[in-house]
Amino acid sequence: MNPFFLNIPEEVYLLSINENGEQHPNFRNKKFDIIMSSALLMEMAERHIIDTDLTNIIPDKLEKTGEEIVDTVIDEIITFNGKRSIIDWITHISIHGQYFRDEIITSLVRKGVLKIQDKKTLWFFSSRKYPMQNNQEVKEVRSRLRELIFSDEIPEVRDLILLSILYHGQLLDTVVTTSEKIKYSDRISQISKMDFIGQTITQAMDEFSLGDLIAEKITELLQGKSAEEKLHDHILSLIEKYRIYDESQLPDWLRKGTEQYKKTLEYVEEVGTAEITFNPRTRKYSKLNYSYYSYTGGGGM
Amino acid sequence: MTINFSLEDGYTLINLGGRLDTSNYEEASQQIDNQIDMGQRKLIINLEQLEYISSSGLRVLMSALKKVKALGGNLILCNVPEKIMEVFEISGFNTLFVITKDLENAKQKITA
Repeated sequence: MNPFFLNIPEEVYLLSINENGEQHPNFRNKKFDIIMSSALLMEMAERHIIDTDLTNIIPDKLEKTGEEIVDTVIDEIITFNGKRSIIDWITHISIHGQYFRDEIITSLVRKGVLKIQDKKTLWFFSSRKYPMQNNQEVKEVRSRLRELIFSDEIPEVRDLILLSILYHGQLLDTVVTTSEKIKYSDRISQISKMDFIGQTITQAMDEFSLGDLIAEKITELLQGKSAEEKLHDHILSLIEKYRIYDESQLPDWLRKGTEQYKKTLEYVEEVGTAEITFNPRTRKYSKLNYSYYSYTGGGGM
Repeated sequence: MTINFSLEDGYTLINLGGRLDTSNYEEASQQIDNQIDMGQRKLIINLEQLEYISSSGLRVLMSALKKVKALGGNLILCNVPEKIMEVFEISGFNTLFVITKDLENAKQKITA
């Protein structure tokens, strides 16, 4: 059980949107999936589901939590049995990026922090506020992080994690102005170093950008191919990009020979592109989408 | 992990050795917290025998520092092995703690 009202990926998502529900431009691309995957692993480390050292993720208490996205990652860790490097895990689980984002938005709506209106995710309250919990106010993430930066307090673990994500994900401007960033640069960099997963985000994003370039080239080459060829080539690029060392490590909707793979193929035929994703909870496919300020909650079959 | 405590003249000495990680962070945290709860406010943690520290282990030290500072006390680390120091430097924990090269220096600082 998570004793906190919101988990770390949820708070990162909230930092990505402004008061009007518009998403920060740096979040509207595939790097956002790296950031969200890192946030999820950090949440799991904070709850001692996993542990980390300078380079590795070490399985700890791998018990199911009842939270969809956390349990998805627990399943993967159990499947791959044992420790792998931090960068391997960040990259690998980001294959579920769109599913994670869908679930995070659904959860924030369920908790009364966001609402969906005209296909936009908006704050439930007009100002950045969380609903009261047990008649007590819960301090919103942005104000908490600003207080931490401007003080010389020893940070709470969750707040140092969040700051580490923003710093290494080049998203500090979601909490501080440029002049504040300069003025408090020593303090920000001191705190941001304190999480090993956070430190790996920059490297993962750089490597992912390179993978993206290759994927774009493949997409260009796929014009005119059959749905099966498109899907096959797309899967090959995913294997490379998401550090999948064996086809058996692919999710069932991308693994040849499964019933779900047949459905994936039908969906690729229908939409004409293999740039799709699958939500295992809703059992729905949708095209990959990074404009989450116009969230639609997925579609397809 | 090995952990033992001794009440010295004006401070509590904690000797922490072996591996401090996910398998024992709760025990280490509990034992250090107990010392603080019993009223000890000046702590020296001797890390000479520490072989490995994970994130969970680092957070045990950070949490102890936070707790003792909030109560007006102090915590000093000493005899940090090179390998552990490297972890402290990469994680920035060396900027959070007062770290001395040996117990003698730690004593002087904590009792000053």
